Amino acid sequence: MRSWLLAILLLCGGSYAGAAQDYMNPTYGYSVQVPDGVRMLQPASPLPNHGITVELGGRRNISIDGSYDAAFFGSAMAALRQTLSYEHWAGKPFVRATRLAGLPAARAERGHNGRRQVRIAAYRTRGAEIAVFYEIDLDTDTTHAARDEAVFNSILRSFTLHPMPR
Amino acid sequence: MNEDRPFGYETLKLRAVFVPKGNPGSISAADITDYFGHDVVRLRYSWHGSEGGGLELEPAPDRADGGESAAGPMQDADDPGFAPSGPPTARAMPPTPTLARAPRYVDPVRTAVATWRLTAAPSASKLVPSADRRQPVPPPQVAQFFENRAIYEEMAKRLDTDAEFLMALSSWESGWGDAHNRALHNLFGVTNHGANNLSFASDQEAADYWVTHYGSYVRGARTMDEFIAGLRRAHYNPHAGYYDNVKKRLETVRKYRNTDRPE
Repeated sequence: MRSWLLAILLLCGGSYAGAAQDYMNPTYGYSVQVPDGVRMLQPASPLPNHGITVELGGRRNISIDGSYDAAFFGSAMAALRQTLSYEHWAGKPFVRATRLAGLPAARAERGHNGRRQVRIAAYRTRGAEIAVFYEIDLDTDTTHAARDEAVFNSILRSFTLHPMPR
Repeated sequence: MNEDRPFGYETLKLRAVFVPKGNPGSISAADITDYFGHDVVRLRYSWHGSEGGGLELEPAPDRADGGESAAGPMQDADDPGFAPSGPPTARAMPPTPTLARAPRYVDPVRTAVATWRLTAAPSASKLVPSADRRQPVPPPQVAQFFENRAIYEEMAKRLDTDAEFLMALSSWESGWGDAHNRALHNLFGVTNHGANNLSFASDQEAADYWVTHYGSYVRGARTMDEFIAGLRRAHYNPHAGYYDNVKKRLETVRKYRNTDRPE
């Protein structure tokens, strides 16, 4: 009986199955799909809107952000390494090159003090205009890592580029 | 060095070491005195060795010979000319790594060392030795961004804060005023209900709009940390890394801040 109940709970509450919520960011030219059943946080109007934070419960969240490369990082890897250094990621993150929606990207991940953190940084050049970089972060605990990473990966897969305003 | 203002407006006795990076043999103590016009200045900000410059500072040892020691910070509180006005003066400015490694500073290029009592008030942006005023060449959009300096300075005056804090935020939010934001006169990337960026009739109107909506959160901010704390109170962005990115842009602003000021 208990195993049946557990199976039902896992099926109902253990995933974010169902319709997805679309999020579109016209300023930085991207969109993602976020599973139903999670809360998306955005800054209140008229604040600048770089992206969303997806609350997964407790201190677990996924953050999706687009920004101008006002720091002149120049590449996804440089953006990743610099922003990690700003935030003093303790421990030694595992870093590798990857791609996001066809863009050159870099990925860092680490386990630290019961937390599991992943960051993807992707870099979009725009000719003479200042480049844009995207950051997608997962910050979760090891208990929920597998489940939350599935959500994270689904968001990564849904990440789509759109034209930026001129 | 600390990018905040550890010394506020207090008077400190400092020793400045000018290292003409990439410009050997072109500076002397006389150059430095000529540059300031006198040997009495007051700091408005903490100082940065700009990446392209060569200004390095450390608190002076309590002697007038511009000694070579890399000893820790020293406040000459017994000196009648020294008037500390609050706890911030107690904060130590760490010795530069170079000096820490080389107590007696010997450099293959000529190095000028001088000690000042700092009591007058040139703008911090002028605190670059004359022989090393060569600026890093900014990307074109950065140079254009600085053409709006007067607007940020006027905002800062109204908000009793530092124009460069506002410029750091604006550079991040407008992409140093990229074509899109320039066309909209949108200095701070403010949006229409999180969607398209708002459009203003002028840059000044955009500045006024920002002051009206968010000025109260940063009013009186004396340091970049205080400024960032104000943005946090305004829930400016839920992305955890946002504030570090904005804070770090102060360094970029300071790196390029003299680009529109010919010698």
